[in-house]
Amino acid sequence: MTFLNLALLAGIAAAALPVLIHLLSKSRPKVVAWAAMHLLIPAAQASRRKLRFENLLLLLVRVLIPTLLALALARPVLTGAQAPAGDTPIAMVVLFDNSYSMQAGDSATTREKRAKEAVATILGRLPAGSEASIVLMSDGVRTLGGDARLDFAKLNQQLDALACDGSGTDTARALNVAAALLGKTTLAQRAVVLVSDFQAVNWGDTDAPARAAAWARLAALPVKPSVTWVNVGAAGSDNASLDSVTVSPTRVAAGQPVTIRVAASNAGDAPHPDLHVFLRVDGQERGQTRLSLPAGQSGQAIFTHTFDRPGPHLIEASTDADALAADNTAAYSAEVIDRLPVLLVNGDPGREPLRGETDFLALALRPAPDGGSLFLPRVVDAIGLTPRALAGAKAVVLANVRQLSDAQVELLNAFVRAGGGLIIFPGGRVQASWYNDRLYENGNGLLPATLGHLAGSTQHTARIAAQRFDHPALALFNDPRNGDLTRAEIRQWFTLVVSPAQHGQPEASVLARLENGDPFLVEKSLGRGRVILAATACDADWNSLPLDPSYVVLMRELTASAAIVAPPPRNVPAGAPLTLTLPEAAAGSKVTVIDPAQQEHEVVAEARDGAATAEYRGSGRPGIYTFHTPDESVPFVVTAGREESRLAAIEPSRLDALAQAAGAAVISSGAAYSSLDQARRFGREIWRPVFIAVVALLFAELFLQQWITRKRPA
Amino acid sequence: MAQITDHLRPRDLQKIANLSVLARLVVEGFFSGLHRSPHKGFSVEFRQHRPYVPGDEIRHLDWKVFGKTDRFFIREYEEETNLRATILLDASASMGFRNVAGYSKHHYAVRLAASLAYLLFQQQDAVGLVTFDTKVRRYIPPRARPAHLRVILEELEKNQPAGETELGKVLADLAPSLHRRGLVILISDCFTASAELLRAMSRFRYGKHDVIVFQLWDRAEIEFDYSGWTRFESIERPGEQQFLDPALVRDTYMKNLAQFREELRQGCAREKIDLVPLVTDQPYADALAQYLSLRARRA
Repeated sequence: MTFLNLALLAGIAAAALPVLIHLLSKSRPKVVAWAAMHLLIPAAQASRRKLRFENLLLLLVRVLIPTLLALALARPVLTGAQAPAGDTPIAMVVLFDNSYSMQAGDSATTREKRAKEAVATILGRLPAGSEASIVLMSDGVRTLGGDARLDFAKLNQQLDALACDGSGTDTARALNVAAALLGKTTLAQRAVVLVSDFQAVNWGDTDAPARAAAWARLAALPVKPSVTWVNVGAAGSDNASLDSVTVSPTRVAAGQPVTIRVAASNAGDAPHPDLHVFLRVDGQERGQTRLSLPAGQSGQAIFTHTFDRPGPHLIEASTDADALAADNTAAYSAEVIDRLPVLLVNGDPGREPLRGETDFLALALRPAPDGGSLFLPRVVDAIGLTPRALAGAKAVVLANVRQLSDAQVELLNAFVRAGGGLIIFPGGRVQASWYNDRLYENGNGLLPATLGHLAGSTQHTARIAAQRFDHPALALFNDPRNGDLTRAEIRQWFTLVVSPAQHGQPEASVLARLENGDPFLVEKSLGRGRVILAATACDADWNSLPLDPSYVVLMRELTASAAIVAPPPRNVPAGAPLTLTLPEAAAGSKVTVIDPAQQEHEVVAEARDGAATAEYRGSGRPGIYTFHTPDESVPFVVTAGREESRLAAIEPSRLDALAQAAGAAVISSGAAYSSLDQARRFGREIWRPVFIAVVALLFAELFLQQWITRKRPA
Repeated sequence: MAQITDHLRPRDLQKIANLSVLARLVVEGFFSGLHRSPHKGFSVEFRQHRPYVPGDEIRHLDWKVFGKTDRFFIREYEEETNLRATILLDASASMGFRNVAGYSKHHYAVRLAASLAYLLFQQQDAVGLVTFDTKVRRYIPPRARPAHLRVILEELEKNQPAGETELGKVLADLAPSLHRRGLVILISDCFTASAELLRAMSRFRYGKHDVIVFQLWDRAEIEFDYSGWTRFESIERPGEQQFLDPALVRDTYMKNLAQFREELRQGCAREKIDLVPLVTDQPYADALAQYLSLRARRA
């Protein structure tokens, strides 16, 4: 037994009133000096027993009236009693699994279709006055069309229109939403119906505690709702999926060949010996290949491609693997850039090959034999650093340059502030005091740090400290396959002194350190460009870096990161904001975003940090979002996990155990719900009979009083 | 037709402290309300018939005898020997019962006794008074002298209710001491066992006394119209009390009351005793009328 208005139960205290009145009236009796005792005593004795009984009865009735009235007002619900059939309205919350695994099925029907039919059947048979909400469990739990809905036809329409394409289900959160919804209702009958295909992957042990807590919260509601699981899953688990598309290198220029890897996996228990993978770039068929995927295995389809023009490109991979279409495609949005002219300023030219300061660097940046390089390097000496040489360059590398003229310093300053990249490698010829004086300028100049004393010797060498790199230029080295920076020996280096930035000065950050803690790479932004200062030289005089394979990667990444202001990522997980950077002039203009459901949204570009950014935050749904500006169309790919591709259902025995723990009954269709519901409808609201009892007692009190004090003719 | 007795209700008279004034008021008020009293000449008693001789008053002719015998006879009266009436006044504590607003049964009884005594003296009857509770307190033998009335009234005035009622025993003791036959007037609430009372009464009847019983009731006693929890404390026996809700016992009480009155009525009828129940808010004249009708029957 529980109460819907528990506070009103306090009214039961009024039951004390009749007793108090009774006691008070007895405590201050009237006194009468009486003569006819011989008539009174036998009368009193004769009626005493009867009187006591009648009196008690009357008192009982009088106590019962306020008690039952308070009880009726508190709206008691008999949780143990079966509700009368059909007439009691129900507050129902349907938890609907809208993940893409629900699309699985055969030509006749799909899990999604069966689930929607089940919900329609259940809602259609709810008693009049019931209310229902549908909570979607996937892609950020939300309620379909508001909280409590009475218009089931409309609710069904909305459900019909719903596409099941979410990735992952959040059962615990959905249950909490259900508990909150049911906590608000005033109906005594409450039900939770969970419609899902019950994939094993969604009912793992990791989130079991959260689920258990959510079930407990549901069960702790004043009126415990009945729980039903509608299992629309099927036995078959055959499913192959394309998991991701990646492109390497990540910074790619037009005309540079790139490798496109399409990761595929077979989550089912049947082999896919002949899986066709198709590649489309910008909507054009660009290749196809075959994969053999044994059951439970993953593989990669590898394509090469050369983008013919710079700008945004969309790479889509698809397969004809199976009926579950949602995971048969994957995509990648690539921003192809133009080649980057780089000016290498050689401060220590050499007469022999590879003895010059920039020789190794020029080699590293040089186009590969197949023509695929991002960079167009050009070497000049210190005097060659002229406005003409600098025209069109995206980055400048100062390699062991002794010092520069004031005009050159001004030139570089303007270059960086306009968005150019500057990389400074010291060396034996560097005049540290001039650098600290003219280039550092107390933190206002180009240098991100001052050059301290020279450290290291042939006996006393250092290595780059192994760490996880956050900077995009070094992030590649987090994967050891791309090279190992820590192998190279640094024999000599400047100790770089990074001072805390003064007010208004740009902050310098240390990208990498040596083992002894000295900074190895320091970067700071200046205007729209950036400056990177290394602690050691870029040739083999001070270190063995050029002899290590990682040198090429490091130099290319450093140069690219200095030269390019990387655009915000275009391949993001679901829910992350989609940000497009536009020229500053575009601030205030409208950008149209088309989401995967082909719905149009409009965002306004805002001025930010000398550029305009258009940000769209509704990327809950995986798929391709396209930003349309007057000049171009930029695709964004919102990726999702592929857990839903593992269609295998929970083992029946485990499902039973889980259902038992949650106090749920498992059915497989909506039709079964009615009969199940009839059999276990508990929670009968009993205020009506209690109220009738109060009225009856009022009459009984009146009658009793009349009867007890009745006057018979003497 | 309005009568002066309507204005002589006990409620209106209770402030008159002087019994003789009150008694006169009651009795004269009573008689003034009657037209041509049929009771005139009660104190003369028929003795014999004698043959008519001329000169006799014609109004003394007995026409009934003439009708039967065709001769004239004169009814001859003799001056009546005084009627001996003894008023027995119950002065037990139970007579002290009064309802909340009024006066006690004893108060009523005293005034009734005074009125009766006055009336009797008016008619040249001899009147005696006995006051008693568990035993006889005072015995004033009947006399017809007018001065005797004052003695009786004085006794009545200083009489106060006290003690228990033992009507049966007292009356039984009293019966032998009333030698000459006469009228016994008992003024009491008769709160004693009815059988005992009747047995005592029958002894008076045995002594050829006429007995009239004025049984006094307070209205509260016959209606028992109390409400709310009440403690009824016995007037006669201190310490004896009943704590109850009157509404709940009323029924049984009324039944007991009816039974008690019925027993008494039947017993009195059997013994040819006149039982006159009086409620203390009834006019004294009612009692006087009852008495006079009794006297009429005796005549």
